[in-house]
Amino acid sequence: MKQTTGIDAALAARLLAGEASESEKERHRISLAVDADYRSDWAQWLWVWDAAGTEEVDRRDCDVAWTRLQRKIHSPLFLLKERTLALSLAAAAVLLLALLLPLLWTPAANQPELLVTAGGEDIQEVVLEDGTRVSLNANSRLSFPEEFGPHERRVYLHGEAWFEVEAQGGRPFYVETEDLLVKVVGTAFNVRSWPEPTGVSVEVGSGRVEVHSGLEGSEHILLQKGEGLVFHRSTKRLEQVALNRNYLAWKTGQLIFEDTPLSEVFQTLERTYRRPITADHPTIFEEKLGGSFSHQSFEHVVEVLCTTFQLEQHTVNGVVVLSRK
Amino acid sequence: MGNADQELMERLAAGDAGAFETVFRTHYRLLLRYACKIVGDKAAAEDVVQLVFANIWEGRKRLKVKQIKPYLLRATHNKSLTFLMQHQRQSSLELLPPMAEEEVDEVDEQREEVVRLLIDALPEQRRRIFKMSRLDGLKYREIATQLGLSVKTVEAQMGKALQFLRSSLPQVLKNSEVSD
Repeated sequence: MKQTTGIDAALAARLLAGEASESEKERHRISLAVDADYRSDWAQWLWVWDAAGTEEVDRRDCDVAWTRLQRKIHSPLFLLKERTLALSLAAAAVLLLALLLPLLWTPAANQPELLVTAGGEDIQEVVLEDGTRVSLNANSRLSFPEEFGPHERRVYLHGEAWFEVEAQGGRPFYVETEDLLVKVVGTAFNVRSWPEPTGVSVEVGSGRVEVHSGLEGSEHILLQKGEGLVFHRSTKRLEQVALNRNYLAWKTGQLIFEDTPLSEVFQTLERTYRRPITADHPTIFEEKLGGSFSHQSFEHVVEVLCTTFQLEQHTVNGVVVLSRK
Repeated sequence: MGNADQELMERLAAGDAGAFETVFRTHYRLLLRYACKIVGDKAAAEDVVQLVFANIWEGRKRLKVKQIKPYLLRATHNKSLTFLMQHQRQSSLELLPPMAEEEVDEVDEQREEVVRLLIDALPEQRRRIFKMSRLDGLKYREIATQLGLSVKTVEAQMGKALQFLRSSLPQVLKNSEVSD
């Protein structure tokens, strides 16, 4: 009888089966954060769903998670991070030793990985040893050897980057992320590997790439110019999708909308600025936006949306929520 | 119990991958459920628990833990809140739900058995759809294609199945308590 403010069964099923849309999940998170009744209602649905599983299913989920964890803690970026931590702990002692015994101090034999980090708001431009150009988005890390081997070129990415790869016959270029392996012949493409559930995707500007959902030989999709894919972490599946025309906005600063429903505009803004935004009424999602923005802040774009459609904005737990005036 | 924990943690700190795997497999389901209560969906909860264990492995040498479970629950709680913070940029922690760590119920064999019986009581097609989603992990679209249905139908059937399980559960349990 107290179901009035609770979660609708079909929505609960979508949330639990991994079928809910991003805006549904966002609204769900907001309600979870502010409403205690909603929270206990959610706990009930969760309980029913968990109880409906079997030991076999639990074991399978656990296996998948363990494999994923193994992959993560054995990735070069992770090992590098570990090493850096250990180094900083030992730093004082090493420095002292170096000062006392400068003659005995020899540089470590060819340190294999270089690490570029773009922090804060800045985008970093990097040119690799083979001439490949990389634009690294803010809050992203790229690690790569000082010199590539004779048979392949391989880099490791956390975050998002645009690559313009020089073709070299017989020496393929690989981008590894926590979830994906992208194999390149000679092309320009974008790779995103953010922690958000919808944060993993690949988009191709020219040429061809082969994207693997794991090691080489696993499920893969061949992408051509103008194509994109997303990786669903929950199911470990790749899905080819229409290219979001604004996929490079983080790099170019240009956002262009042409008769675009606000539901799509929200997705694009989230992807570009990594800031959650939604609306509290279904008709708002259907409004269409035309126009372009050049190097504008998230706040400015939201302001324009409000003026154009006569909406007002509230911030609920950091999610910008638009509603009718 | 405490001693076994301590021995396991000592082995983990020494880099024993087997000990790490034991800790992971023993607590994975509980932590996943805990995280899911806070962050609201399975995929996000999986990410959170991955981070918890990655951090443990990364900092294993400095780990000083006597009892594993309370430590893991606290770590999962903190990581879940961090996840919410990252997904709701300007939010302040005061607005986030205070979660009692003791709130995590242990697996209840009897209630699980009841749910299994209830699933078998579903109408045939509904039961099939529910099992394909919950047990086989198929996407709604895949279920729809395999059964020659629309995605809307799959969605509706899933909602009805879950609703039935939830609303029948308290009654069945009450009856079984009376018979005790």
